[in-house]
Amino acid sequence: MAQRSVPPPQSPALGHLGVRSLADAWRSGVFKSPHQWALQVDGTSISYRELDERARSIAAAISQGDPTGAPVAVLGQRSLDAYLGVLGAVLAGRTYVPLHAGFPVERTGGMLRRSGAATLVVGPEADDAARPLLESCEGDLTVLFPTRRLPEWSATSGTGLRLDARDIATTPHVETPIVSDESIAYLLFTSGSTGMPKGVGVSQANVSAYLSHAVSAYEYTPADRCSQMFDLTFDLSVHDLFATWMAGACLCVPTKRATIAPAKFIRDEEITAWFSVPSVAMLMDRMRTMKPGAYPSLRISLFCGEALPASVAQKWSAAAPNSTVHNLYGPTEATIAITSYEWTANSSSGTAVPIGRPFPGHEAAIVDTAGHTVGEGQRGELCVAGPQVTQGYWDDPERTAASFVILPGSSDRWYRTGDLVEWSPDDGLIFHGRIDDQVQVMGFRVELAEVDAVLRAALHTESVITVSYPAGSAAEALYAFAVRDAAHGDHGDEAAALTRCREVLPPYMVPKQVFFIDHLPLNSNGKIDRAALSKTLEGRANE
Amino acid sequence: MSEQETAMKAFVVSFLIDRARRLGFDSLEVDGDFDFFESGLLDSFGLIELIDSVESSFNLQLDFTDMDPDAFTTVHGLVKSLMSAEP
Repeated sequence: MAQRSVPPPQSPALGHLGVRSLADAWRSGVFKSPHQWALQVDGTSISYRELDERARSIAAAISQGDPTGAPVAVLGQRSLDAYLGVLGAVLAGRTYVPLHAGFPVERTGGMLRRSGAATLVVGPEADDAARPLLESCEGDLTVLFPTRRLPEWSATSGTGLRLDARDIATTPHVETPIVSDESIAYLLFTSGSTGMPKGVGVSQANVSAYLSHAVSAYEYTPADRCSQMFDLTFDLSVHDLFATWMAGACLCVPTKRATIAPAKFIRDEEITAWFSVPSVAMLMDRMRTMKPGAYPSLRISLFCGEALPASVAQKWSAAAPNSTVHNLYGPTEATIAITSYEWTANSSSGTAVPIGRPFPGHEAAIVDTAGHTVGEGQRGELCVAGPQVTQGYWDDPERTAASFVILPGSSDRWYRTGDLVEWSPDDGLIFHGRIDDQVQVMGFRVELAEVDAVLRAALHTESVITVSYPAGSAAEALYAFAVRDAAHGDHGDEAAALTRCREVLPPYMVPKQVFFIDHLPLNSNGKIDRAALSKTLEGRANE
Repeated sequence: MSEQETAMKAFVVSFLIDRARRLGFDSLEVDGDFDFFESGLLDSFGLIELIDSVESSFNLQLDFTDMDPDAFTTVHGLVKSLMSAEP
């Protein structure tokens, strides 16, 4: 784990001023805490000043390699290279596009192409993915290897400029360009129901509004040691990196293995600020690592990405007795999180913790299918408006027009979240699931229709459907049901279909098993009844 | 290696082989050093499933609070950790 040493005394705490861009947020940290650790990753600790120096070299290399201003893709996770790639892009005034080495090349290649990136930063942990990705790439791409010599394979994979650590270190620094409020800070892709991932571009103004609120609301200070649990392809990681850095605090990165069992990480690293999906807390509980008083160093704990059960909040609060517990809610399209609820032992007795009230400057409306506000106490679709609501889907005006709307009687632009909620005068918004077939697996958004499409092609049948388990929005896993076909053996088909899923879908979208049954149950609307199938799974689990 | 340890290792390996076969991971070689997390065979919930079923089959409970996750994602590592558990 990260090396332990005491950094020099910090500069006096400064009030949190608002920021205009991710580059501003970073510079705020450098200004507040130049000699403190900014990042502890992979056994190395790096001060703000040093990380700034190195990130500016990356920024210079990006600007020199591609003067056109195109986005910068970052392929890597939990390595110094990955964080340098993100910061380098930010300081070069570019959009960063995080890519995941664990996702299939076909999918990642599509994202790279659609983003229009002209530069790729590769971490050593991502070589196995980078090689086939570059070989499949048409056209030139500048590739940066921030901390090492050029790997041998880089000369023969793809075309374009290749820069290693030495090239980067010797590139003369350039001034950080001023970026406009509307320019895209980062571009992420989420599951899309038609089989093609949706791109969401988040502007500097969107993310600045979020950070300015979050850093002051949760009182981050240079003394904080913040967890970095989220993969860079998950937008909640933007909070991890830039709320920490804006405050001049230290970003503590667990190893990939520690993310599945983080108890020792929190204790050894004396983490003060925690942020994860609730599933991580549930797993920790099942591993019996949520004993009362286990995490005294924590002062603030944030959960987001899926429903937070009250029982989990209760246990967490006992395990982290010095910490407040906040349930955050927000789709990628509305930038990281847009509502929050502080859970306390006196909180209302529901089984799920409410998602609370919108952040300052934002509005929430609960509407029916026609977009009219529903009556008091009624459920409807949550719509949100305000400075964090993004401009829409990347290069996809049709989907943008469907989800980003002007509601009747309002002149604002609203994002229709697809989430079913009701309003409670005491607790604010209460989440009741989805109005469509989107589910959350460990907080990752999955359109079940996207998985269905892959399975249909692989099994050569229309009669296949994917369901989440357990039913509800916070799923552990996906399972599929297909109608038994006398002509084919069940098991051969299952393995082949799942192999195909692994070739085109990220790991969390691959079903755990395909069950073959005689027919698929239909609901009263004549549609395949996913809920009934989910219940079947629960029956099996209880056997 | 004690009898208990051998039985536990066989249990873990057969759990993993069964999982690999079902998922269509054809070329996996499951031996003592096999890392079921790194290989992508088990995700975090799969790991819990594995631990649950070993624990209930062998009637023991493991405290993971101060355990280094690097130590229990291989067959050998998990069996060794489990052997240290209180019944």
